[in-house]
Amino acid sequence: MSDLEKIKTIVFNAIDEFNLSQEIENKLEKSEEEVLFSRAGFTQVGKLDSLTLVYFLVTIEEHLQKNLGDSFNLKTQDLIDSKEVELKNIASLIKYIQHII
Amino acid sequence: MKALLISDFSINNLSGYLKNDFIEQNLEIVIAPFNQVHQVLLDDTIECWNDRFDLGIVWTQPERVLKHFAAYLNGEDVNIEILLSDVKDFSNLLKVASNRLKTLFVANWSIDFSLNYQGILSAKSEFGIYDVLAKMNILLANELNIIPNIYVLNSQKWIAMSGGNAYNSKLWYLSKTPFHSSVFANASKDICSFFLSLNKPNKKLIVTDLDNTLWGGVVGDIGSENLVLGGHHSVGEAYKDFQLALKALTKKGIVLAITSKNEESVAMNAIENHSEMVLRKSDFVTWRINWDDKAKNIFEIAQELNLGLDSIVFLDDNPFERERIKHSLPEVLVPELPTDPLLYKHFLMQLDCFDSNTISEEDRKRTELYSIEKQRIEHKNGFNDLEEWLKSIDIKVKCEELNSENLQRVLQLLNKTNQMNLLTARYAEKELLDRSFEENHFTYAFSVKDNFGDAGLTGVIGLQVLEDTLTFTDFVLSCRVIGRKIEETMLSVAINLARKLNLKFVEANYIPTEKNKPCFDFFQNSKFEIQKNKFSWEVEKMYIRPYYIDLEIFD
Repeated sequence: MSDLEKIKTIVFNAIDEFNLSQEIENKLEKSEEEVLFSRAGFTQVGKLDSLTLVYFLVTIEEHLQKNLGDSFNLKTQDLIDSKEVELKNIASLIKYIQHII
Repeated sequence: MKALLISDFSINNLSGYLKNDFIEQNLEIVIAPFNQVHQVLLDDTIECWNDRFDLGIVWTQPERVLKHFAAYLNGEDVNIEILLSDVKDFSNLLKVASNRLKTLFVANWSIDFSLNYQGILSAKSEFGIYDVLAKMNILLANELNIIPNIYVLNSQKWIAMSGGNAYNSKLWYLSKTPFHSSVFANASKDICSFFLSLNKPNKKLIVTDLDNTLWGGVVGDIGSENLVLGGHHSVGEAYKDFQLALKALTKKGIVLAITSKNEESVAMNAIENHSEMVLRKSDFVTWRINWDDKAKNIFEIAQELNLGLDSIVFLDDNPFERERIKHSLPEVLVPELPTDPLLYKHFLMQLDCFDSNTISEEDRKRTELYSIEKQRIEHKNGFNDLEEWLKSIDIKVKCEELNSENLQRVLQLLNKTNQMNLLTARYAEKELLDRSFEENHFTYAFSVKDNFGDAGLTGVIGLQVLEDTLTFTDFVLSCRVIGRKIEETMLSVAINLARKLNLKFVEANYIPTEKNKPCFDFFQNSKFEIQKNKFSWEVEKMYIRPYYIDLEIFD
């Protein structure tokens, strides 16, 4: 399995856990096209608000730590502050994770 | 159903779990303004109070709502009395807010015990953090337990169940959420289970298998002397502990019955004579030890005890038998007993289907009451005429108004009775109390005993004066005494009251449910005039109550 596929599997597992805390209409789909967050410049509407985005990213970080070691840091605050497109959808988030590993 | 969440941290995560756990109730949640706990509790003009809520949940961190506790955590010298005075003040705010809610759940306080606050001094009496927090939580519970619609929940359990990662610093700094989502998942499960236990009947009967369920081995094959039970043996000890846990449930009003594929004499010999048996014959209200289909046995047991199938839990180590019951009697709860008997007790104690907010004297004596009922039925079989039998057993009925001593049992009967229940109205304690203070409202409790024993408080009527009519707001009788003319005696009390108040009619408006047809049948045969689901009696007319029932009325 390639690194990208491994990360995708970890992220999808995190989505399963995250969805337990979400009501039906806010549950994320396990799809690379799933839009996460709405922000100026993004054309599609995401399911997460600023609070649930934090919960989601912390869940992903926990899953990555289980696989890569406790020292793995997703740099969540930087990610949230960034004006970049890492949070646009699942695919862009996976690319970001691959980049920082 | 609507709930209001009040917290000094971001509690949105709990909201998501609650919506999923209360999915059948279609729960709507309002989250009060973040970190304004004192203001929200005190000020009913704040927008979040615009709605009426079935449930309020207050979950706070002690260092954020108790000023002096924060100082104490920061190492300042704070007198314990000052800390406890803060707790009292906060409790008073909760009491005020509880008037605006049907039910209020308050999570007790916890702190992150993984942090090294005071080293070895943490456990020191009077000064140590463990001691101080325990004192604060005890005072909180004592202050709030006297308020009927407030329940204090144990947040420390939710945190302990989540293990070492329960507190999460990263979540705190990023979102003002102190806990890992698993803590909220645990909290939501408890909140859902506790709330539903207030409003719906819990399970009443456990029907259990014997071989490899109450003891290790097949008694018919190896004999009672070779059963694995008790002694210095891990599995034997686990079976004995499982029996002890079942016996403890009988003190909460759960009754036990047996269905087992065995020769009755062989199985009963083990039950009565094995030195390590905890559960003896007298601990079971009935049994079907035979080679018949267990679904048939359970159905017969339900009929014999006059219980609905949905009040039964079936325990059996054999997956085939479990599947058979699940398939043929879907109303019966069939938990998946673990394959390892070492886990039986823990598994049983994790089931929430036996939860109840009260345990009455009747609950504690329930097994005995069923045993007396068995003797009563045997005696009844010797009579051809029902009235002759009723006369022979010397029934005494005591009628008294709702009071502080019978309140819990009255509440339990109103909220748990399904069959002889006119309107199936369910009440929070506070609602019932408030109603009892209304001038035009009357609530009477009926206790029944006869030559065989004391059935205890088994009937309740609620009555309201509306113009020239006395209308039943409740007519409830435990299935244990149905058919002994207690129903007629309760009607006579209502009619006599209407006469005393110079009213013209007594009315009963039946609301049908899936289970309360017996109540309709009773009123239909009661000589009340019937118009669809409405029954009425002209007070002028004489109502003759069963003269052989000795009725004593206490005002």
